[in-house]
Amino acid sequence: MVHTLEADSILLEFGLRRVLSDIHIQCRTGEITGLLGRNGQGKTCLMRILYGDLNASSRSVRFDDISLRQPFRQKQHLLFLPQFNFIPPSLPLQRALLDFELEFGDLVQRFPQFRATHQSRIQDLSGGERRLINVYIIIRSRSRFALLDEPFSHLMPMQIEQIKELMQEEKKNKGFLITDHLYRHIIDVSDKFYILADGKTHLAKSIGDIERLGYARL
Amino acid sequence: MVLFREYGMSIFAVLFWFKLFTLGVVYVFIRSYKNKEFYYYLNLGLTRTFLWTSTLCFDFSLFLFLLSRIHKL
Repeated sequence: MVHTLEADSILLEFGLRRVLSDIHIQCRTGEITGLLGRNGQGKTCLMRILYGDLNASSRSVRFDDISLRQPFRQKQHLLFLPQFNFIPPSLPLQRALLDFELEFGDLVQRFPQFRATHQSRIQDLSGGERRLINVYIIIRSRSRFALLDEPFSHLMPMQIEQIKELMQEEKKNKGFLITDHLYRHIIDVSDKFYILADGKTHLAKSIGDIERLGYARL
Repeated sequence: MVLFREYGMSIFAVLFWFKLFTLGVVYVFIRSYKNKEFYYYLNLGLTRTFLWTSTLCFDFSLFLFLLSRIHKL
């Protein structure tokens, strides 16, 4: 069964500045949806509104056409990877995996560099490894949708490719909404993508829309 | 213990307000310096309200319990 996560009627203002005003975004399980936009266009705000963590003047977020006020209360629906590392540094790696019902063996099978970190705390890992664990946990955990804010930042190219492979495998079970400034990876991995410009979402019809909407020169 | 012997029950009000003040300091400090880590618990389905209510209530209850134990000594 295909599930949908849909949002529209979103109005977000900071003082006199209107950040989001004409939004329509739809994600489905089995798909990876990209979200591109220049700095300050409200990509992170939009994700936080979808997650229910940021209040907007008006919003409508629906799962399978059912409106939810605080989606983050139901982790089976939605998980959110913020653009920073969110796992407490003092936590043992294995504890973090267990909290999200994941197994250390599965992690090592995919990322053998973690074999020797069985007893390590998150703070003992390198910056790249820490980010990789944050991304891995959100992608692999059981939920219908995952919102990924800059998952490729701080990762080396080989790890980015591994994460893209992992997402392609996991999209059988869930839907992804992903944003990152490494837009070629986003285009590569996404089934469709939106461009956020002037507070509005534009469903890209071709790769040329990226240049037309002033996001990047191709 | 020494405070209770010295000042009697009148010290209770001072300790009570001092405890509330320190809880406020803890609240502000954690909101500022541990803000990012709230997403860990949000992703586990635990809301900020639940986390604050449970930890502050536990801390304050422990304070009251220890005060009552000291008073009985």
